[in-house]
Amino acid sequence: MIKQSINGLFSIIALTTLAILLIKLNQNINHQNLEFGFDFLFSQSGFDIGDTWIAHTHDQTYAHAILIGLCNTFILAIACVLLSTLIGIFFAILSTNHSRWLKLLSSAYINLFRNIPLLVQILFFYTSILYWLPPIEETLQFADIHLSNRGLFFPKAPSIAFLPLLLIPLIFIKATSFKNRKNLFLGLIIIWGVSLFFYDWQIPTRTRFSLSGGGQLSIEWFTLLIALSIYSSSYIAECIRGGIHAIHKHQTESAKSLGLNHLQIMIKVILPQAVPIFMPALLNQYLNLTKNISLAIAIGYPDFFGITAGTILNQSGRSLECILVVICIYGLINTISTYFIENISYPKWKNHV
Amino acid sequence: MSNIHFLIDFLLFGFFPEQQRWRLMIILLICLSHTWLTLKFARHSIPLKTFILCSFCLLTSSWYLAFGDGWLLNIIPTNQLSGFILNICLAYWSIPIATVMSVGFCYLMIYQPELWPTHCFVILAKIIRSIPLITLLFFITLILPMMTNIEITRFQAALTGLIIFLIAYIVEVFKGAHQAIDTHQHESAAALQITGIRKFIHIDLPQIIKNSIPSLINTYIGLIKDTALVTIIGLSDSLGNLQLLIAKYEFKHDFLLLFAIIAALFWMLCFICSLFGKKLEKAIVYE
Repeated sequence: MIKQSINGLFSIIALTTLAILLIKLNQNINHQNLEFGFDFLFSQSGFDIGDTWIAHTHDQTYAHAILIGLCNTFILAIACVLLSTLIGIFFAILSTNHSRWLKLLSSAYINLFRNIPLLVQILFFYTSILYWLPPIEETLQFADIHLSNRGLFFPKAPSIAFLPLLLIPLIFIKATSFKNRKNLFLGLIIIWGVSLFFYDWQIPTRTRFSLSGGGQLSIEWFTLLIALSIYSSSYIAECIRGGIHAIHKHQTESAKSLGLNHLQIMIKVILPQAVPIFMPALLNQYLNLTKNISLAIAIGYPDFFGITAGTILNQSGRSLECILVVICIYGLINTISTYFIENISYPKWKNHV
Repeated sequence: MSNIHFLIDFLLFGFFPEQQRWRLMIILLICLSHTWLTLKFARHSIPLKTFILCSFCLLTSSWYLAFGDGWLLNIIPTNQLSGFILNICLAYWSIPIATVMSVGFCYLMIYQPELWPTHCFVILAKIIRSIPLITLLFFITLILPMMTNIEITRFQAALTGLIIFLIAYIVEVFKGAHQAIDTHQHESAAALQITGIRKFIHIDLPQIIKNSIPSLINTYIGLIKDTALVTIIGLSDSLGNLQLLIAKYEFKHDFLLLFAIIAALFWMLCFICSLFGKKLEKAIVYE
């Protein structure tokens, strides 16, 4: 009885409040000569995005711009995940070393970068890269690769050249043994490397004010890659260290009695067993990393959040719709990956231990 | 480096009027004394009622000192509270409020899971946990004034956003800690006929707090770091002041020093927080 009355009271209060808020909101939106709706997503955007993997010009739609932003976010996320996992594994192994100084080094790294806000790190790397790298007129040049404070310019092969790399997952799935897989992998890489010489490379050439032709990676992209990788690698190192500590000591002792050295013990015996233990925490960190990419708005990299809640919001004035799009898409990403983390990854690996 | 004093001063206190700096010093003292008081309470040196009363007094007096009332103390507009002291104040004001509120929500989630308010809260918390903090801050600064026709200053928006964000995370921590409580405790409570809110206050809550301290401190440290994000919605906290300084030509070459100061300040704050967590963990003993 009490519960039902609380439910009733709550629903009355909540619905009235919600109704009042929505009416006010609608009034205010109409006051700006706008109408609530997502139709504007299919009108012309009117702005170019300079720093993208797929081109966006001003006569394409807002929805296209949002998709381009998502693409930017995901590519950056994948690059950051790879780099931060490598650095994280390195420091986790370092922290299990017997040398006291190496342990100290790894704990200093982890504690330093874990306790400084990510935004401070991003702005620090951005400012220092802009400050230390030379301007475009006097680039640091190595063969045809130019490095300046506008980004990295490098020769680019046509995108067909990278198609053979799609065979790599096939090798990992189909190959029967470790040796077989290794040989196939090496063979593919060598054949692919030789084939690169037969394509037309676009080489960056100097024009009056800049360099044109070839590929370009902007300074903002590099900054985010470095800062996010370092920040998340300190968290990932802690996760992996926890997983390593959970493996029974007998494993190390038996591996030692077989004559393996410290690095071999870690890579071949301990880490494969620790994977199911630290995997859920690790995937959580990857999810956090994807959310942290939204800080790119501070240095002006056109990621999903920056384009939707920054450029499009300011240009079209439709703040409510833009924020709703952001919330929905982040919610979708989160729901899918949470489902994956909870239901697919963990129990399957758990059975192997 | 003659202007290093000026730089540090600007990063710490920003635009706060120079004659009123003593108020900020007292706020810092209040923060320290509140942590000390919490440790005292955890060691059973002071009773619960005194602790709650003292905490309330300290929070309100720090708020009063920061903004004044125009009668005894000059009124300070919210945009003049800036610099690193703003980060500290945001953290200090959001952490106790969010923790106390999430205890209430935790009660709802554990004992009244079928109520509609609980369902609403769970869904909202899930949404808030899945979006980055800046989205929430943007929502509060842009959409909420349109919904309510109330002018919301950026400071209020930041504080509200941080509190909501913190509640969504702390409730999850509390829920996990509640699942870790031994089933014997529930059985004994049932044998003594302690049920409902009395069981929550006297049996669940003390154990929830004890179990959750490590992850709670982790969440607090995350929040302290997240206070740096308020610079994106235009508040001049320490990072905003740093950007102002770098934009000036005369300090352009000092950016390494400036970033080192900011990093050291945040690092110190997080270090103090984790130290506090370790002490608290040792202090709480139930016999």
